[in-house]
Amino acid sequence: MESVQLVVFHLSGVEYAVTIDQVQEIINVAEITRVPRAPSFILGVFNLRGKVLPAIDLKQRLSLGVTTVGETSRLVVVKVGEHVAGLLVDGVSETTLVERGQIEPASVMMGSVSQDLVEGIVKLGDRLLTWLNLDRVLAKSGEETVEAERQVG
Amino acid sequence: MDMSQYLGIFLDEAREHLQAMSEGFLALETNPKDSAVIERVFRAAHTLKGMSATMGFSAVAELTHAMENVLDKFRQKQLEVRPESMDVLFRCLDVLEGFTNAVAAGGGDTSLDPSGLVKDLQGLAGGGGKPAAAPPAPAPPPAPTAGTPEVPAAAEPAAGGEAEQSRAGDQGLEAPALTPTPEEAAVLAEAVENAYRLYQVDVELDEQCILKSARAYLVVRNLEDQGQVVHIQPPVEALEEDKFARVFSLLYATRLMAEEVLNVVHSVSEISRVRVSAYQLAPTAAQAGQDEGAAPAAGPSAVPTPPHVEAAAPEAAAASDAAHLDAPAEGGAAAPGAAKATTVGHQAVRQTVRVDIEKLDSLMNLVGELVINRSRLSQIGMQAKVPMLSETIEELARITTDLQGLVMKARMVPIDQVFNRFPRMVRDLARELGKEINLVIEGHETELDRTVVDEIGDPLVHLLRNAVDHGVEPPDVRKAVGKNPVGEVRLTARHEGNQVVVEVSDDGKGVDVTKVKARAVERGVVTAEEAAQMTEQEAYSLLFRSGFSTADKVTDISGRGVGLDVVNNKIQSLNGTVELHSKPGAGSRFVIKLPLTLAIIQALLVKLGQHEVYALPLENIEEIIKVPQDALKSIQRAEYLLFRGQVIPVIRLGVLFATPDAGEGESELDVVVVKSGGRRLGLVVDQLLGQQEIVIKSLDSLFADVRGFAGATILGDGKVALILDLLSLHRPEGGHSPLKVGA
Repeated sequence: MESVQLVVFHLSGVEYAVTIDQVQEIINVAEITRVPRAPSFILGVFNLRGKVLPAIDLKQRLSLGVTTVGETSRLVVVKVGEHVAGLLVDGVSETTLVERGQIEPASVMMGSVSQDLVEGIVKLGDRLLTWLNLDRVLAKSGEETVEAERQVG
Repeated sequence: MDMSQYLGIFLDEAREHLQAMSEGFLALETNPKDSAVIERVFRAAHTLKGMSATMGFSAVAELTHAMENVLDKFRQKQLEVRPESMDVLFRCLDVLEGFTNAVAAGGGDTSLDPSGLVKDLQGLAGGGGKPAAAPPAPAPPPAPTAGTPEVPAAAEPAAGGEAEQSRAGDQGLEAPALTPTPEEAAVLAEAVENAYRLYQVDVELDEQCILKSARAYLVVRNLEDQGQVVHIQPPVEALEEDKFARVFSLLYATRLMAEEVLNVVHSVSEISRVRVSAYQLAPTAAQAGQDEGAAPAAGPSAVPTPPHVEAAAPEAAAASDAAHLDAPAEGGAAAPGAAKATTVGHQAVRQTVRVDIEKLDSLMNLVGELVINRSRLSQIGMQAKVPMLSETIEELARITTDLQGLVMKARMVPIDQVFNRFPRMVRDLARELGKEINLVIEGHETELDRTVVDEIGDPLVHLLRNAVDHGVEPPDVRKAVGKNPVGEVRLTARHEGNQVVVEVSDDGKGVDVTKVKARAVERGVVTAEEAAQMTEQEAYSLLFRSGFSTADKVTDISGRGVGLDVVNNKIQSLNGTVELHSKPGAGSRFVIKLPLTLAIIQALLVKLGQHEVYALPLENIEEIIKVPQDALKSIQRAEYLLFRGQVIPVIRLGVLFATPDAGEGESELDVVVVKSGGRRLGLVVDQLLGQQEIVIKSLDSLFADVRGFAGATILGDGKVALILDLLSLHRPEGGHSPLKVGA
């Protein structure tokens, strides 16, 4: 049976996952330069060995609040299509191999995260991982969310 | 004879001659009687014929020979220059160009079948109204009579050069005839097929040499790095056991030139003399077998000599050697001297080196990183305050700057590379459309960055086609409105500050603004009210919008617009701008402005608040002034400053960017006056940090909708600073007030 290797990380105590193919590296949170007038989920840009990459507050992108950088915080550097970006997460827990059979399609049940950003739900024993669709997370479709946030802010 | 080593030179020269012919033919079309031009193209065809025959490209030789015949008839005034004959000649050029490209790509002579064209050419040469000239046979004589003295002249230098290139080193050194075994011969034959060169290398070790076998081994090993040593005499075993006199010979298959081989051998010490000569592979194995017995005898110096004999009589050996040594006993100097002579002769012919663009690109990237690290180092130096360190850093800075300048220059190429294909294109297009057009090219020597040159071709093709197709009217229309029936299309390039300006203009019918506006309204691009308020320039800019120009009908109405959005996108992606100026009835002018390079710029670094650093492109900065707070006048929520009698708008960057703790407690303001897009703008900043060279890094497309930034750069301390896009600051942000953002 086909299996997928996932990188598991957490945001506010909830576990999320992305496929390892999309992850370039995981680094400590670098110094981030704010980009004025950018959507608020984009924290700014940082220097990764001479490349300037956007840093994204994944919590804000998923409308889960604002991340406060702490001891365990990491930037997960992902490559999705033409984008290479760092996703700010509260911590990275593990990489794990899961069978396709353990993955269920995103259901309406996942109330907190917009369904179109979710690839599927992974059952891992008694744990549930939200497998994110990074293509959509990094797509510009986030603009509506951004506009909404701007008006609020 | 293996000619592959001359292929590069052949291709370069062939292209030059083809280009010369192309230019000549175009010139002949406008002035068919110009005998100087006829003479020039005749020569070019003639030389090309000789070259290709030497290289064994018989089909090319055949075709150029036929061309030469026609051109010779022009020259002898036996045939008139007519459009039909020019068409045939142009077709020949196309075929020849295709051929050179095929050869360059690794193809061969077989790709070319000239018979059709040759027949056409013979038809021209024969049908020139001179009944006596029956096609092929009588045609050649005039050419040879004129050409024969030149053929050997052209061929000989090549042969001379070839001899020079295939032989190097000490010619006084005796070269025994080497006979490879049949197996070795097969290896050699295969090497030749793979475009390797064969050399016989004769090496004489220094008489003081003690470890002869070690030296011999080193020579063989070094050669093996760059090719294959196929045959060694005396045999390897004898070499290993030191059972040889000071001379050994070998057959070597490599891609190196003779003098390079020479250098490889001379990199080993204790070598007194070396001779490198091109080796001809014996035609048959049988012959090789026959010679086998005779070979050792033929090379007496190669006969193994017991070591003690040599040790016993070193004087004698030295004396006999001295007879044919043309330099002091420290013979090493003699051979490199000879090699140098050939190298000098070589340089006179070619002073350029072709470099893979990728290599230049990575060189540029490395220099970019170097510039970043230099800045970092000078920051550290400033903190450390160690005089010696500062001096070294200054020196390093100078060297880096020179290096950077040089690398930039190495990447600069004349725009001619793009321009030179246009005369032909315009001519063909004009003929196709039944128009008469005179293409004027100016500033073809203007240099700009390789990357820009590579990209600029397509947009220019677009604009030129546009000018020929839609701009210039047919001759009868032009006559009717009192214009010269021959239209003029101008293509010019020039430097302007840090930019290159390329213009494509025509004296055609121009663009009718009202029609453009009407069309835009019709297509829903703008409303009727908006259109009414538009300036002429704004209306023209509509043509570059994608929604507008996709429709073919636009062509019928305005005579413009096909693919202009493509042009615009391309130019913008190069950080350039394109504008249209037009006068109905008098013509149109497209002005393209491009940056000289895309990688490194001079910038002013400024600080907002306590922490945020931004870079302002220096080329846009006019002046930096200090003004009291109350110098800024507020008019309708916008601020203005009276500057040299002019009212200029002022933006407080800290406010616009919602920078925390920006603009606190300052009684005087630092205002950077910038000029962009023809307008002035004052930018209030909190602190001026100084001027620096920065490497532009593009921002991820996630930031595509974020206005105000042209990119980012990495500062000396490793932090990222954003580069301001001054053009976009001019336009007020629609929608939300800057004061509200992030507040």
